[in-house]
Amino acid sequence: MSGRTWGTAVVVCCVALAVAGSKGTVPRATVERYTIRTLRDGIGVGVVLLSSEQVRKTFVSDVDRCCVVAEIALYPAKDKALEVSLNDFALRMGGTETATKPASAKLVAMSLQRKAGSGRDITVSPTVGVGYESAGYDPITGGRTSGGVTRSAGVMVGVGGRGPKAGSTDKDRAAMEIELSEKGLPEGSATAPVSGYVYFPMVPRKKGTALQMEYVLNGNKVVLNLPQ
Amino acid sequence: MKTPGSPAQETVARDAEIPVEKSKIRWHLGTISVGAGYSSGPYYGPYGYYPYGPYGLYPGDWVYSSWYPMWGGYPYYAPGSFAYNSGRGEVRLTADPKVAEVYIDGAYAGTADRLKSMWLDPGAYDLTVSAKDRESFHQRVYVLSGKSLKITAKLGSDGTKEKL
Repeated sequence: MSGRTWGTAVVVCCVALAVAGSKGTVPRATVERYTIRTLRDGIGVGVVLLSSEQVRKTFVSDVDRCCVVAEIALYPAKDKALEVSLNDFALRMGGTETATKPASAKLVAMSLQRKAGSGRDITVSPTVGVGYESAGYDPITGGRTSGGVTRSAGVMVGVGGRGPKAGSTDKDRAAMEIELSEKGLPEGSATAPVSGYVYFPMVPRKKGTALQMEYVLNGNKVVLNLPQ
Repeated sequence: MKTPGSPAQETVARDAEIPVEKSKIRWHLGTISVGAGYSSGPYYGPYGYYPYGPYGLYPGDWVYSSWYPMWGGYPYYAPGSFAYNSGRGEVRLTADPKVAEVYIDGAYAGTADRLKSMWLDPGAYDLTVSAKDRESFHQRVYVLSGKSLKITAKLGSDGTKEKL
């Protein structure tokens, strides 16, 4: 193997290891770069609520089918570690008592797999036939039959497909779990800014209902109003 | 009786030596054959410390060739590894330059112009596209069965990367 090939291989290996170890997204330079943000006790919180279109572009998994996705960035205070936990977040419908806690990547992946497998592929195809029949004897009655043009019409109904549905196999669930986990907000102690996606199970709501992100910070509840 | 050193005796002596020489030759051939073997399937090689692909996420059979000295060869995907299968997902790759080398989880997959459509088992993969004198392109790729993922890798010498 040439030296160049070895060099490439080593770089590929290092990058693979680095990528495998990373989690979450890259936080913006400062919390001020987030439109929705707050700063309490030196701790910055920035939020971006993703639209369905953004979710479809960001994830291979169909997360938009089950969840509201928000990108959350946390900026710890200087020289102080911040304990990041998904349990500290909640998404509330404005002016109501209805709120949801974030779901884990595993739970979301299971939900998506179930949804993908629940639908049934049913194909309905109309059929129309036109033919010509020559005169002859009916093989059953023995009588003479007259020839002429024949017409037929019908409907074919097909149920199921040839292969597994997209996202319905156990391998798919595992892949979705990896994706959601790797892109999710990393939990644990953070001394540097961290960011990642948080998945809130969808709650039926009226169109135009405002959403609020709640975050428990040092025992105090911080509320961020999200765009509708 | 024939005297020592006669042609007949020399003939016998030569005949006796020949098998010895043959066995030496066979031994050498046997030595050469070790390390020149060919095997397929998930195989980490006899030394077990290859720097490539330790994650066990290989989507298909790749071939290990031990022609190379030192640590042996590097893993790569056998022809047909990316063929269509109903349980797989598609990765549609476009790269500039087209002859860029493509690595999946550190294993060589081929050149980009021959990998415009790859069908992989569902899972997460590290995709790397590299070319001489160009910045390498790296992306974590998630594949789901029945889904198609389009990736455009533009390898710029100035370090620019683009993904659509």
